[in-house]
Amino acid sequence: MTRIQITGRKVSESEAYDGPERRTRLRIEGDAKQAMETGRNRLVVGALLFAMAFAVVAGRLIEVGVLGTAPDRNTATIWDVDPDRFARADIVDRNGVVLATNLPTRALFADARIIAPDDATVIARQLAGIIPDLDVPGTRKRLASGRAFIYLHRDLTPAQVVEVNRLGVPGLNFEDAEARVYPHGRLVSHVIGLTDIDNNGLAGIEKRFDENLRGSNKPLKLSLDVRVQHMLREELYKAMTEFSAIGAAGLVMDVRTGELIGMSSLPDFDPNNIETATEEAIFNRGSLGVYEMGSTFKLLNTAMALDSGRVNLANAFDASNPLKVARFQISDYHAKNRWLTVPEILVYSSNIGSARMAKFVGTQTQRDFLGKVGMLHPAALEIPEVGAPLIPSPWRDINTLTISFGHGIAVSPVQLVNSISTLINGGIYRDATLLARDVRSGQVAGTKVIKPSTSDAMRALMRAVVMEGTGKKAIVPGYMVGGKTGTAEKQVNGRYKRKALMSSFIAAFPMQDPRYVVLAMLDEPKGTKATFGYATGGWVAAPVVGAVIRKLAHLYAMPPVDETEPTVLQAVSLPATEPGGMLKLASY
Amino acid sequence: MISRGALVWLFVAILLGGAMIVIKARVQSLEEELAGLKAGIRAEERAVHVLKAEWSYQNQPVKLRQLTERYLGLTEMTTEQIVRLEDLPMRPVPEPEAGPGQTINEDNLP
Repeated sequence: MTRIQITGRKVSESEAYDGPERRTRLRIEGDAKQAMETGRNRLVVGALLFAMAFAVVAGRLIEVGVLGTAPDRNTATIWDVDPDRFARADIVDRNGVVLATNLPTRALFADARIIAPDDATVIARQLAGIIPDLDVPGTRKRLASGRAFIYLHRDLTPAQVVEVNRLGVPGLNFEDAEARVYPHGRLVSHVIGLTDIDNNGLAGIEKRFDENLRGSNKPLKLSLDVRVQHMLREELYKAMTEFSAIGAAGLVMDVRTGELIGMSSLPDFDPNNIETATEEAIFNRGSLGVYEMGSTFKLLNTAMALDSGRVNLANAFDASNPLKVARFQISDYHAKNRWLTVPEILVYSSNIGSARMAKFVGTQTQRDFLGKVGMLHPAALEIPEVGAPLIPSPWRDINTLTISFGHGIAVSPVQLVNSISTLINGGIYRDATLLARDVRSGQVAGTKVIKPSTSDAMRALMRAVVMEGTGKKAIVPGYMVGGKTGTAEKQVNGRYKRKALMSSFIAAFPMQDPRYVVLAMLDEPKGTKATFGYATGGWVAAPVVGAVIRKLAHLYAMPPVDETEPTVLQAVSLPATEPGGMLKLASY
Repeated sequence: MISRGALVWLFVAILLGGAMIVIKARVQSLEEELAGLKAGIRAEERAVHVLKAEWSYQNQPVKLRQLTERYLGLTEMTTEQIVRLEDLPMRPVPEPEAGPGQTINEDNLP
C-alpha cells in the first residue's frame, strides 16, 4: 500500500511503467506552427478532391456495370465499319437485279519525266501488246513529251494491270478509278441512259437522277422487270426483222399503279460501248418520239362519246358514204357502207363513224377529254427524253374529225398507254412512272377522270375488237385479251406516205379485271407472204402483243380463266342499253 | 522505415500498373485485329459488289435461255401448267389392301 512519490506528483501505475519507450511530444510554437497548419489544411483539400474523383469513377462504374444504362456497345461497333462507297449508286430493277453499277478499275498513267525519250517507242509497242486498243503513235509521242502526268488508258482489267507491272518500266503508274458498267447492256439502254467517262449522267435515268445517284449509295429501284423487258424486246426484234421495219417500240404498263414494267425501243444501243451507237439507235421511240397513232385513238373517241353521256352503246351513226369535208374526204378501210352502232364502229374500225361521233359530241368535249387522259401535255416520265405532243392550233372542226381516228394529233407511245390504262382501270388517271411505286401502302393515288360505267364499257368493247374485229392475232386463250389495232400512214415532209406505215396494237388483259396494258409499234413494216402483203397493225403488231401477253401471264403465273364461263362472259359483255336511235348530224 | 500499410499499397499499385500494361497491350492488339477485320470486310464488300455485277451479267435472260436450251432441254411453259391451288384434286385416299379372304376384281383395283 505504499506509494512512491518521485516528482512530487501522483502518477498512475500505467504511467509509471512507460519508462524509456515513452514518446516525447514535441511542441512547436510560433511561425512554424502556422505553416504546419496550412499544410494540413491543404492536404485535407487535396484528399477531398481525390475522394470526390474516385466517388465519380465509382459511381460511373456502378452505372455502367450494375445499372446497365450505358449506350448499347454493339450499335457503336456496327457503325464503326463505314460501308464501301462508290461514286455513283446502283440502278436496279423492281426485283433488285443490277442494271447499272460502278466497278473499281485502274487507270494507267505515266510520268514522262523519268522515261527516256529513246525508250518511248519500245514502251508504246509493249503496252500495245497488252492493251489492244491503245493508240501507238499517240502514246509514243506523249511518252516522249516529258510531262509529269499523262493518262495512257482508262479501265484496265486486273490481268492487264499484272502484265503492265511485269514490264517493270519505271514511270508507269496506276490510279484507282471507277467505271460505270451496265450488265444488261442493250436490254434497258433507253431507260437507263448512260454516263460519260467522268461518271456524269448523259441520258435517261442516269441524267434525270444524276444528283441523287451521286449523293447516295442507296440503289435506285426502277419499275422495270428485266424479264418482261427481255420478252418485249425479243418479240419486237423478231417482228422487226420479219417485216423489215426500220424501228419498233413496246411498252408494258401496270394499270393499277401506272408503273412501266417494260419499255423497249429498237434499234437500241450498248451503253457499255457508246462509240458504236448511231443517232437513230439512241432515239427513244417509246417516249421521245411522237406519232399519229391512227385507229387506236378510236378507243379514246368512243370513251369520250360514252363518257359525255350523250351517246350510248345502242346508238348508230351513218357510215354509208365517205364523209366529205372541204377538200378532205374521210373513208373507211374496211367499208361497210351502212349505219353502224357504236360497238360496230370500233370493231370495224370505221373512220366515218368515229368522225361523226366526234362531231356529234363536239370539239370542246373532245379537247377536254383528251386533256383529262393526258394527251395534251408531255408524259410525266422520269427521263429527259420525253416528247411533247403535237396538238392542232387552232383546233378546227376538221381537226376534231381527224383526231377521232388518230390523225392530226401526234402523241408519244407512253401517253397512249397511259390513257388506255386510264380507260380500263375504272377511270383513274395515274402518271406513268419508271420508278418502283410502293404498292404495299395501299392504292396508288390517282385522279378520277372517267365514269366507272364508261370504263366497264371500254373493257367489253376492247374484248369485242379482239374477238370479232381486227385484233384476232392477239388472242391468248385463258387471258381475256382486249385491244385495238392502229395503222397510220407516216407523214413525211407534211405529206402522208402511202407505203410508210406506223402499225401498232394496244391491248390489255385480263379484260374482266385488267392488270396490264401492252403496246407494240412497228415503224415502216413491210408485208410478207405470210401476211398476204399486209403490214397493218392487226397483222404485224398484234402477234407481238399476243406473244408478250402469253409470256407475261406465264411469268407471273396468272391463273387462266375459262373464257366460256358465264360469270367471265358477263364481266366483259356489253352493258344492256335501251334501244338507241340513229344519231344524225344536221351538217353532215 | 516504411510501414506495413504503405507496403501493401505499393504492392497494389504495382499490381494495378502491371495489369494496366497487360490490358493496354491486349486492347492494342485487339484494335489491330479490328482494323484488319474492317479492312477485310471492306475488301469482301468490294468483291461482293463486283460479284453482284457479274451475277447480273451472267443472268441476262438471253444468256439463260441459251444455257437452258443447251443443257436442260426445257420447253416453254404452257397455260395448262398454271392451276389454282383450290383446283387441285385432294390426294386420293389409298384403297385398303386386299386381305387374305378378299376377292380382287376390277372394281376395287385402284
